[in-house]
Amino acid sequence: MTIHQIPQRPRLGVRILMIELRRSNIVWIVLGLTAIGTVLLVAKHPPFQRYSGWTSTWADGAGWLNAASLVLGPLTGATAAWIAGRETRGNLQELLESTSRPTAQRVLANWVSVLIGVTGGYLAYALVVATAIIPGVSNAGSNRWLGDWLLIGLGWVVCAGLGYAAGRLVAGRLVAPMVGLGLYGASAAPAYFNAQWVQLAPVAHLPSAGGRRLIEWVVPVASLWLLALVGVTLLLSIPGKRRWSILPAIAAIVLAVPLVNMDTSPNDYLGASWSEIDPSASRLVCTTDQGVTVCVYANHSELLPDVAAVAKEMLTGPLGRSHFDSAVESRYGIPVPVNAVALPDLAGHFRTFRSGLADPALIREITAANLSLPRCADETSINAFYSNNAALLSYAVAAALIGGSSLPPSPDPSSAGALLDRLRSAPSASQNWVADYLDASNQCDVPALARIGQRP
Amino acid sequence: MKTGGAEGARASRSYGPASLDGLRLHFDARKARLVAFGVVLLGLVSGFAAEWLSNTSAFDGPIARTPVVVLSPCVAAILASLTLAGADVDLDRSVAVLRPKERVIHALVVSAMITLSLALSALTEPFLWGSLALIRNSIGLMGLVLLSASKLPAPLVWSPTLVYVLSVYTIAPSDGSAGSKWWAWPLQSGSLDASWMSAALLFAAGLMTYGLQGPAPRT
Repeated sequence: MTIHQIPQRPRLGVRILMIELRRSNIVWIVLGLTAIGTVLLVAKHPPFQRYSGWTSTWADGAGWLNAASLVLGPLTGATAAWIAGRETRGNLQELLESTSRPTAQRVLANWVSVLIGVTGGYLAYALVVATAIIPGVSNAGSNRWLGDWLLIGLGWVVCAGLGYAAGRLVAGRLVAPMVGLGLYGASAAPAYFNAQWVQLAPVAHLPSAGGRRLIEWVVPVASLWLLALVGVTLLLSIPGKRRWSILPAIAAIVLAVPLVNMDTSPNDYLGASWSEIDPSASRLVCTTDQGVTVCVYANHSELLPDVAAVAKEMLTGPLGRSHFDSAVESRYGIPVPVNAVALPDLAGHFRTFRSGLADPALIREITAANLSLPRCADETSINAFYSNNAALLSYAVAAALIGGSSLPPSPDPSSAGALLDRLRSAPSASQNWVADYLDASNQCDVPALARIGQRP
Repeated sequence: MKTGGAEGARASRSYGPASLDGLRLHFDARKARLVAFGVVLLGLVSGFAAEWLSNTSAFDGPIARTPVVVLSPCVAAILASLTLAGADVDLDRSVAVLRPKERVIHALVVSAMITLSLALSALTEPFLWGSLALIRNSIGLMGLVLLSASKLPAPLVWSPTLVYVLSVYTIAPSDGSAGSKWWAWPLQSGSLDASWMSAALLFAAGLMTYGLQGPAPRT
């Protein structure tokens, strides 16, 4: 006789949760959030935008997740409100109250299914963003970006909790969309008021960006604050337990006080008070080849080979060696050394889902414009240059020749175009012209720059 | 037993949509008074918000009215979606009234109501994210709601409009670059360009689909 082993059935709680996950269409919610997030990511790049503006660093990934949360957080809240309204939509409250199952258990199972959906949606979308970052990421900077990613995820859970509570407390078809719009307004409106409490918006409130990191104690305190808000919304959702929501509400208020009352450094915008400069992302990484040194910031070091190739070609290329033998990436608030050409800030110049520069021609163009700009130390000389049309014409032609691209804006585009065509048709004359231009530019000799522009 | 007198007269009265009583019942069943009140209130709030944004020195004048121009028609269209289906769509679909013509008239009346109410809220400099943009967005988003109403169950009609508006408002350029006049039309300034074509096409598609198919069944 064969004894058949009866398969053990999962525990009751797990079975109920599985039913809830099916009834609440959690798989579709996870897929929907991921799909909408991916569409947002794709729409942030050409051909839907002029430039991609993508930066493959973990901190900038947090910045993108934070920005996308302005849409996905409210949608999470609206979805949770819609799920919470299932009983009222079907007029089932009285029927369910008459069963022997406790209300708290029923609500909790439903709430946990929403939590699983939101967490799954966030993790899946975070994976998409990580996939876009990984090919071009530099392992520089602190690991505090993990705190940003955690806080953004908790922000989604808070949105879901608020939506769920609203869906349980208020009946009607409009509850879900109004929760979505309300959360969007609550997250976006603070941008109109440059105030400290901006950072208490449920989502899209973090100052996440490359080269910055959250202050160390902010991550645990803000996490606890968000968890307290989740606790408030959960208790508000359970009939009979609502009065207990006062406890996490008090905790949330206490935790919010230090988060609001943070000083901002004088150079920062108010919303940045939770963050500080990340020193390990802000050191220069350099390479030297054929006497040309090219430096970029550590968190952009993945782009160093591509940028070095562009810079080296410009400093030692067919137009002859310029007066500079080094090129350094610019960053807001940090001056470039006097003897170096300013490379553009490389934030926003990464390719998505791949490594390397998104548009080397654009880097070349900006660097050429920086290289051609006269080195004037005083305000009077700078004003003299910008008010001299002939000098501006020379500048435009030099930038176009060095950058090998189209002519930048100039006061007399037709004359500039004619001069550029003449120089391009005679390579040796062009080389001499550029050498003379750079000599005059390096000495901030505005009359000489003007004469060069008039030269036949 | 034969019903007589006034009761009999009331019982034999027609309750089709052509009669005033029929229209009243039709609109009452779709919360039309609540929606009308909401739309008028929204118009007032929009007007106040548009004035505040235009006249606050920290912002860029009339250009700063973008949130009003994008979000008010979205709220209005979602409110109007309440009127597009009765409490029980399956019951509605089992009754041999409300033919395409009546549905189209209903949709046109509701669209005209929200468009008029919102257009009055930003009359100064109408081409710069003002009245014209509000008219275009009311028409276009109403078209999207009508399209959704004929394809999705009533409790979910709001979702495509909300997803679309929040997404384009957050990421799309408002200067018309990269084809955004076509795909992010609610964000454009209001001058007569391709954004109007997108909104008009959407409204025509929504009106036709809703007129022909009516509200989608519950399952």
